[in-house]
Amino acid sequence: MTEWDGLTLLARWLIYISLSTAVGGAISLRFLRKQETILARLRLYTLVSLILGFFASLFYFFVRVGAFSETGLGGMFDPVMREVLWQSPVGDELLLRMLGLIILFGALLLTLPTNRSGRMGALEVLCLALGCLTLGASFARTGHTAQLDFFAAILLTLHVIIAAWWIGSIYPLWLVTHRLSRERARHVLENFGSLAIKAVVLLVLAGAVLLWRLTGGEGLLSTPYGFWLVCKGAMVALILVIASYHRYQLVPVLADDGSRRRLKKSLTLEKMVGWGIFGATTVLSTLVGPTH
Amino acid sequence: MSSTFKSLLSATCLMLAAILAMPVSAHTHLVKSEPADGAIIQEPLQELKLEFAEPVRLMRVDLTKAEGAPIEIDFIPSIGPGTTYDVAIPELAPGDYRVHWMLMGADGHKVTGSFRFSQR
Repeated sequence: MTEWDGLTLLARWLIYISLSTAVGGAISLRFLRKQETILARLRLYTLVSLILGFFASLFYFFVRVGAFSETGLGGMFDPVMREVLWQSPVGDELLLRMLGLIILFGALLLTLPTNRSGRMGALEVLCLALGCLTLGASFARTGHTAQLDFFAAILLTLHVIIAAWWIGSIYPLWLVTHRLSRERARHVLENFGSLAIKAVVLLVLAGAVLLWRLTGGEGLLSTPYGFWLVCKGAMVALILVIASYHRYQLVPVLADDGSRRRLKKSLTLEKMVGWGIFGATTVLSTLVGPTH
Repeated sequence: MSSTFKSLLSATCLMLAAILAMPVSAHTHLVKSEPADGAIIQEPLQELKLEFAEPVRLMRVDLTKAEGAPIEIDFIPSIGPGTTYDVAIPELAPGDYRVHWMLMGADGHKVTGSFRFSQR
């Protein structure tokens, strides 16, 4: 692994984390719009994520320029290589990401007025949908799935949006557990749980189909790509166990400070595992490839 | 039948349809070069020809003599993708040479490779 591979991994991992928190924050602002006590924190969370996403995306682009230039750190600003990459799928990816982040920023701005009309709410939903789709689609421009067909691009977009929403919603749920009354918190967490079950089924199915399309089931146990897939699969299994533990064990008995503390700790663990999944995904999409 | 079950069933059918489609191949590679890898050339060489399995952006071509001295060639990275590339080179003195190439595949990934030839 070269220094550029290391920087590429770091930049891509930062993109996964920041875009997931941006998507999770922006969608949570919509779903939790009536929970006044946490709105300010949610807006801050979303804004910081959008800014991080902006810089992480730019950083990733220039790291790729440097990696292709192979002329040291100064190569990140090589004008010829920068122009070539800007005209390539790497440039398309950056453009789509910037566009998605700007649209989500628009959705964030629409949550600011105190007396919002129904039209503003509809516009916010439209911005959320467009922003998430654009960000999700940006991942289909590059990486191994870029060689597949349009249906695979749709599946990947769906996979990315659901994963981003899920992992990015963990901090908002932590806020719900921390700041809202017991009844309100339980209501919100139960609603999220019901929605998450359907979303996770789609997430796993989309991931499984993409995996099959990429590998044909070959080399899953004997290649570096297979090794990282197994790592990712193990972490996905772990996060599903944690999510089930929340839904069926902790949320129904959310009562005293002790049960809230347990849930908050468990949510923090879930977030860490989520970031671990992003780490494995980064390796899969950057360093290793299917051998099929 | 609940709406949740219906939506899950629809999603499953959609996925099963997709599973039937064929998987893809991995990263692209050099299918042919002139001179070929290991070739011994008697005639003076004016250009290198590289042919890839699918459209790629050729980002870099380095030509070095076996002793390690780099040969200056006028190569500009390609903006658009292509499968065949002709790279003009200066007249070469007899000796062993190595061509190192780097490309960007359709997936945005960097792929590198090299081949050798001898000029007599």
